[in-house]
Amino acid sequence: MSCKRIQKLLPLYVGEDLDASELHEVKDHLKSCLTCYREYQDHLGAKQTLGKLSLEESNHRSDLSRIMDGFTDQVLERISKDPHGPSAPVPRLIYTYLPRALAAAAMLLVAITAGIYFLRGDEKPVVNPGSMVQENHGKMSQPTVSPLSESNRSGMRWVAEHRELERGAGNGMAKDGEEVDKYPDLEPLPQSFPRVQPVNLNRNF
Amino acid sequence: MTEPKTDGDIIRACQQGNQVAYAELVSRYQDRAFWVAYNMLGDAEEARDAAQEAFVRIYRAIDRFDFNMNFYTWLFRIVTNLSIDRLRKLKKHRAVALNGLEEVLKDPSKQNKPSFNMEEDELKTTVRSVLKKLPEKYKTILVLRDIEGRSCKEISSITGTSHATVRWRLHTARKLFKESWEREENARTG
Repeated sequence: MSCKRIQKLLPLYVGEDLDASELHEVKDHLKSCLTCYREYQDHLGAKQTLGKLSLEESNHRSDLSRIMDGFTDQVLERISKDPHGPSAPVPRLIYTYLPRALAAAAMLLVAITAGIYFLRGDEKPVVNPGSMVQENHGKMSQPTVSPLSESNRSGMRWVAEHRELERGAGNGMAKDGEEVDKYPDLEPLPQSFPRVQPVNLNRNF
Repeated sequence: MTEPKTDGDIIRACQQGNQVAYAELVSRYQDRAFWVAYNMLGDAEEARDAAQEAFVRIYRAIDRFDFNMNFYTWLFRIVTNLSIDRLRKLKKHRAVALNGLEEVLKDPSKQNKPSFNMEEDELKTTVRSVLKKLPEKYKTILVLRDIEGRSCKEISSITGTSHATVRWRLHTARKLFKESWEREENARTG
């Protein structure tokens, strides 16, 4: 074991706080290394100096008796007046904690109710084209309504239109040339809203 | 001759509301509690208050005592935690009260505090001064291991930390104490 490693272990060695194998290795090293042995003596001296404080107890017995005079009586006096002691009757505990529990429960209920109200208050139900399912015979099923924000409506509408184009399902023109509203259930787009031109996804990049 | 009651027997009686039984438990451990607090705080009056508060808190929680644990482990834990809290409060008050220090010194009611001042020699005064400057977690470890003589396993239970943490803190604490002690000695001897 190197001197660097030994010196790191010395603070624990002086109190025999190492495991058996480490104790043995340090002990062996100290037999042959004067530098580490001197370092060990410094650590031991500091520890023994600190340990002298434990001798104060025997040196100050009379002082301690004076300081601790009446200690037990004062402790008993305090605990006899303490309403939180282990012998406190159950009804007292109920009177103490029940109002607080009820108040906390009421606050929680109000918070949950307010949270639900604010979460559902601003949203308007819109069609989610992603929920449309291709049924048999290629016919579209009725779209399901799910709450989407206003900002998503335009994008979803474009997707729906593009799918129609991809499938070659027609350009929304009736046989007599009149334009037919392909989504009669949807509200018309505002006039100021820019129409997005469909992109050909089949092109090569 | 009847055998002395064990701590467990006394605690069971206390759990039934027997305060006289608790008096016996307090008498058994009051000196130990005081010394742990005194070594942490360095002040006899503060140490007595901390020890008293510890026993009051223990009585409040005596219903929840874990009989797999030693009573003194629990007592030491509460005393060291209360001592650390007091050290932090004292640091704050000392910083605030610097301007009023002269007034405090002139107050005669402050002169009769219990203390060990009679024959405490210079060496122990210096040791206490060095110990006082250490951070609380290192001071706690040194007090419990090198002054109270508790094992690392007991200290682990008292402080609620792992054995590896206790070992690491003990290593650092002894190193810090040695370095501070050498500086003090060099300053004293010139």
